[in-house]
Amino acid sequence: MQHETIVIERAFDHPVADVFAAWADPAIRAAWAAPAPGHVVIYDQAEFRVGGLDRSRCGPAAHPDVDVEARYLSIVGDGRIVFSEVITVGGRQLSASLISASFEGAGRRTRFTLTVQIASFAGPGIVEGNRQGWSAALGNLAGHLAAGMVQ
Amino acid sequence: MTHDVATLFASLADPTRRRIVGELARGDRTVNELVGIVALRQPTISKHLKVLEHAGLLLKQADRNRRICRLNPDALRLIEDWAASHRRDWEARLDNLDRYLGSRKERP
Repeated sequence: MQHETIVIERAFDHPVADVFAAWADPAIRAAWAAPAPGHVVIYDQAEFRVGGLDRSRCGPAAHPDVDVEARYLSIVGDGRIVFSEVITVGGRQLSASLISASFEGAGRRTRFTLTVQIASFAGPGIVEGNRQGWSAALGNLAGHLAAGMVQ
Repeated sequence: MTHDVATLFASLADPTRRRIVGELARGDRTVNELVGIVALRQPTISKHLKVLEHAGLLLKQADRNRRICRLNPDALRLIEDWAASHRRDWEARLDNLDRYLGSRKERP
């Protein structure tokens, strides 16, 4: 089992209420939660409340076969959302994560921090050396998405 | 040689093989050097090396009468990709979210 923590900080040029609503409302979330063009997120169950359970399927539109189960652990309006997330493919669990989204309003802007603490059941975590190599790939991906996502 | 993630992960389920891969991550080693470092008998090491080779993680190169082992960068990329994919996915989602927020004039 491999553990890693991912921290992503963002500043959104939008009021905190809008950013928070985009997380709270599953219909809005489905519009942005697919990580790649042509991919979908389909919610079969959505309960945005402490203790509530979201069940969704995501992946390429033709075969969204990644099962995601999220349980909300802590919610503070316009402040934070903490949930657990288990990812399963073909009946095999790939990972379990604790995901903390922190929202901080600053006038018309929002400071946002996402912390993903993930326990991976599929990756051995022995190849840590080459992380910087991926920053270039991330840049490419961001550019690719920006170019491909004119909607 | 397979380049299948499941076979890769299965090959790494064994602690001795993880140790060998960890050692090779620092640099190429001959089979004899690995025997010395891992402190197991050569037939045992060779068996593990064969599994790693089949999984595509290991490349063996003959240099005169020495056999040099090195990691296959393509296979490493496959593993690395999986680990990095979580960050990439979240970065991409937040890009989407930013775009979504920008596409709306007012809150409903």
